[in-house]
Amino acid sequence: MTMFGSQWLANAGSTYEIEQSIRFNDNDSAYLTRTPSSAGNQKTNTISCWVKRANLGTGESLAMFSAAGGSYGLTWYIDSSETDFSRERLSLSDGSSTLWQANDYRLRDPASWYHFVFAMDTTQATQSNRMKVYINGALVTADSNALVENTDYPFFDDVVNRIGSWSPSGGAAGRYMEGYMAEIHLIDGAQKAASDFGEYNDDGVWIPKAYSGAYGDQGAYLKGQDSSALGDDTSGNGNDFSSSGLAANDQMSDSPTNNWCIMNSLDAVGPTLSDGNLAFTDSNGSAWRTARATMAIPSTGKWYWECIAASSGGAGDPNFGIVADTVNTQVSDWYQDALAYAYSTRQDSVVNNDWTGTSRGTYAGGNVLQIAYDSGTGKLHFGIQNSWINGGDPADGSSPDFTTSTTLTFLPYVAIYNSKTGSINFGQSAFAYTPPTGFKALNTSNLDTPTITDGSAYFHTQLYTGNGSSGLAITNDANAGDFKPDLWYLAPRSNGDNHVVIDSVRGVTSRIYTNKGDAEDIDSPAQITFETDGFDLDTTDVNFNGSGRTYVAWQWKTTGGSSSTNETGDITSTVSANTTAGFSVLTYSGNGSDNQEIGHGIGIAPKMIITKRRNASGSNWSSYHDAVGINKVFYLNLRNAVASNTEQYRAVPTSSVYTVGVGGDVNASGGTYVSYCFAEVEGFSSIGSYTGNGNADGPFVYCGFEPAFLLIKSTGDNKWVIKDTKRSPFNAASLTLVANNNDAELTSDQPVDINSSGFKLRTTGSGVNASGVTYIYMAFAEHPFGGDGAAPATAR
Amino acid sequence: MWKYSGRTIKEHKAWTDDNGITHPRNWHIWSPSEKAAAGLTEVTQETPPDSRLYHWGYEADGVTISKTAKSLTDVGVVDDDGNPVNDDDGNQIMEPGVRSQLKAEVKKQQGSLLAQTDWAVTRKSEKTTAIPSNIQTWRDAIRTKATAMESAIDGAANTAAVAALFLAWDADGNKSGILYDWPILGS
Repeated sequence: MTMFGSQWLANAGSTYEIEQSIRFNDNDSAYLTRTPSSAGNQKTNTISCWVKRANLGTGESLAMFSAAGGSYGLTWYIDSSETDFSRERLSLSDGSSTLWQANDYRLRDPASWYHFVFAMDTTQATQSNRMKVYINGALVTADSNALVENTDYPFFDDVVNRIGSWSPSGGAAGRYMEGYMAEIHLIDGAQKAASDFGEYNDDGVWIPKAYSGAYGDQGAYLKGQDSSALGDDTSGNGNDFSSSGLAANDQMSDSPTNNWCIMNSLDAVGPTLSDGNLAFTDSNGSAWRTARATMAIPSTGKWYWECIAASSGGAGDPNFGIVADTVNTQVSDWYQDALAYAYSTRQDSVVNNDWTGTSRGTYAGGNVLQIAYDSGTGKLHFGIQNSWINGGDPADGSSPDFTTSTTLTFLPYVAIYNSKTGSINFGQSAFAYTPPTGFKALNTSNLDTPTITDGSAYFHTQLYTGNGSSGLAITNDANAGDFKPDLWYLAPRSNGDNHVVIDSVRGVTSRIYTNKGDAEDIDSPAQITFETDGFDLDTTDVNFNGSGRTYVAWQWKTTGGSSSTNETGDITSTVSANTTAGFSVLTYSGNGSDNQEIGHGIGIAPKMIITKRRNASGSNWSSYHDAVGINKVFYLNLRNAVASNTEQYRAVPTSSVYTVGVGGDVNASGGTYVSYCFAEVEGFSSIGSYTGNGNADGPFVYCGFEPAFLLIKSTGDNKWVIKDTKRSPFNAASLTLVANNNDAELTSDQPVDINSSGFKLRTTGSGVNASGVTYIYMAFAEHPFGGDGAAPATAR
Repeated sequence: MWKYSGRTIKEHKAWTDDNGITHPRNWHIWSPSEKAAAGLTEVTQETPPDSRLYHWGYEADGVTISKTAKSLTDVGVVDDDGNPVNDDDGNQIMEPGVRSQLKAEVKKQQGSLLAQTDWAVTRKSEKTTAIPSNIQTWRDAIRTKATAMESAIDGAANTAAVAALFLAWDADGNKSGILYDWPILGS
C-alpha cells in the first residue's frame, strides 16, 4: 500500500493545517461515544467542528452531537417525508420538542467543508444569547429558542454523549451521520465565539486557526490523528471517546485546509452514494445511472485516481472515466457522448461515443482500475492491477487509451446499474499502487495558484439602504480603498424601478437601463461619483436613494477609470479592459457596414457580449453568448427567445476582436454604442449553458469556484434572472431580480443553491429549470474553489 | 484557442516554446503582432454536432470535427468476429438507437413531471379529496403530449427529421419542434 497525498498537504492558504478527518459512514452505523465519569458544566459549553457532508437526501441526518441516551441532539435533519427539501432545519432537540431551531439554512453542499460552532450559556439573561450558533464564522439567526435561563441541559452530563449519531426516541444510537468531521473541540465551562476557532484570511475566506483556550474538566479535542483510536482526546484531559463502526481506513486526508475530490451527490442522477461518497450502487434494473465528481480535472497537470468494481462482465458493472462539463447529464445514456471516455468493467473495453467500445485489458471484480490523465496533452491511460492496458506508460505519454481535447474541462465520473457496486479513491485514503511519475491526486492543495484568489477585488456586490438625502456615501465592504468601479449596475430591491447601468468609459453622467431600450439619459451634474472605496450618491432620486428603500449595486473593476483607444478592428473603440479578470467596457461609433471587427482589449476571446445603442430610443440590448452562437440574438431588456439574426454578431469572437453586422442595435451609421465584454477566467468566471430537467432536484452546474453573482436566461421566452450571495447569504438563493423589467425584488422565486464549486437548480420554475430547455448563464466568483496558496472555499 | 507548433496554449498558463523560452502566464495580453511573432496562431474549433444524433470527434488538429449519424433504430451487438452477443437469456443484446433513446427520455421526463403532482392523486386515494381540475387537466395534457412526442420520433424518417423535432426559435421568435415542449401547469 502506498501512502499518498500528505506530501501535498502544505500551503492551502493557511498557516494552520488540519492533517486529517474522520469519515462517518451511516451504513456502518459509525459514531464516537463517551460517558463522562462526572458531569461537566451543563449550562455553559461550546462545540466546534468542521463538517463535510457526503450523501444527501431524505432521511439523511447530519447528527453532530447527542447526549442523554441519544435523544438530546444537535442535528441537521431532512425528514424522510420531506422530499422537496423544503423543511431542512438545524436544530437542538430533546427528542420530543425543539429547544432551538433555524429554518432558513439549506446546508447541502458536499463539495467542501462547513465550520459549525454551537455555544451555549443558559446563565445569560437575554434569551438569544443562551445559544449562539455560527456557520463559517457567521452568526445564525434562530427561528425558535426555548432554552430556559439557568437550566442544565444534557451535554457534558455524566450520561452517554455521542458524536455522529442521534436517537430522537433515546436509547441505542441511530440516525447516523454520512460525511466527514474534523477538528472537534468540546469546551466544558465556556461559551466561545467562532473567532476562537477560525478567522477570515486576506481573501475573505473563513479558515481554521489553532484554538488556544482551556477545555475544562470534561472537554476534549478530537482530531482523529490516531487511526487505531480515532476518538483519542489530545486536549490533555484524556477524555477519549470510543468508536463504533469506525475503522482505521476511516482516517482520511480530506480536511478543511486541503479539500479532496469525492463523488458529488448533487450531480448524481441515480446512484446511491456511501462511504463519504467514495462508494456507490444503483438498484435500477435496466438503465445506466451516473455520478460526477466534486472537482473538475484542472486544465494543466497530470492526475491519478483508482477505482474498484465489485464484479465484472455483467450487466450494470460500472464504467469509470471522465466526461466534459459541457455534456448534458440530464438525458439518458449520456455516458455514450463523444466527450465521455471510460473503461467498461462489464465489457473489458475502453468506451467513447458509444457503449461497446474497443476490447482492451481484462478486469476481474475487486481489481484496482487505475486512471491517469494528462490535462496538458489530453492523454488518458487506464491500468489494471498496476499494468497499463494499452501497453503504454502515462509517465512518458506513450500509447494512451484516448487522447481528448485539451481545451475542455473534464470531471471524473462513474456509470452503474443493476444493483452492482463500486468504489473510487482519489487518494484521500492510501492508493493501492504508486502513481506514475509526475501524477498527482485531486485535492485543492495540488491545484495551481488561482489567477484571482479574491474575486471581490474585481467584482463586488454591495447592498445599501437609501436615506433620501443627497451625499450618501456607500463604502464597499471589501477592498475599500482599492476598488473604484468601472461598470456599475444598480437594481432597486424594495421598490420597483429602473435597473441603471453606468460605466467609467461613457462617464458617470450617462445612464442606461437594462429594462428598456431608451437612449441614455445624461445628468448634469452627475448623480453618482465612483470612489476607490465605493460610490457616492449625490441625488435624492428614488431610483438611487429613496429613504428606507433598499438597493443592490453590482460592480466590476477594469482599470479604475482609465481607458484607451483600440484600433485593432475595423471600427476604432475606446476600451477599459481588465486582462486579468477577463472583461472590458468599450464604446464605439457605428458605420453601417457588415462584418465589422471591434477591438475589445481583453486578450481572451469573450464568451458573452452585451451591446446597447446610446443615442436612439427603441434600441434593444443586443446580446451574444458563446452557447448560443453567432448569427443569433437575444436582448437583455426583453424576455424573447433566442432568434436567428444575421445583422448582429457575425463571427466567433477572437482574443482581440468581435464582429458585428448592420443591425441598428449594434452598428447603425451614426449610432453610438457601448459594449460590455466578458471572457472566462478559470476560478473567477464561468460562462456556459445547461439543460433544465423540470425537477426540484435540478441539474448541478460546475463552475470551479463559489459564485458571488449569477445571471441566467432561458433560450426560450423567459426572464433574465439575477442571483447573488450578498442578498442570499445562505441557500437557497430565492431572491430574484429581473434585468428585463423594473419589478421589485421577488422574494421567493426560482430557488438556486449557490455552492462552493458551482450552483444547483432547486426548482421546477421555467425561469431557470424547465425540462429540456437550454439555459445560458454567466457567473463571477466570490472565491476560487481552492489552490496552491488559496484556502479552500467553505461549503455553502 | 491558441496553437503553437501544434500544441494548444492556454490563457493564464505559462508555456515554453521550441527554443526553451518560458513565457509568462499573462501572455494573452500581448498584441496580435507579438503573438504572431512568438509563433502563436489563433484558431476556432468547429462547433460539435448534437451528441444525441451523431458520433463525432475532433481530428488530430483539435479543431476539425468528423461525425457520423447514429443509427435511428436499435442495433444488435456483435463481437469482434461479428457473432451476436447474447444476454443471460440467450437473446441478442440490442444497443438502443436514437429513436429508443429519445423515447426513453420522453418517458423519463413525463414521469418526472407527473411525479410533481402525484401528491394530489395520493390525497384523492387516501382522503377522497378531488384532484384539482387544473392539475388533472395538466396531467392529461402531459400524457397526450408524451404520446405525440413518441409518435413524432417514430415518424421521423432520418437524422435531419429527428433534429427538427427539438425546440428552436426563428428570427421572429416563433417556436418550432416538439421535444421537449411540455405543457405548463395552469393555475
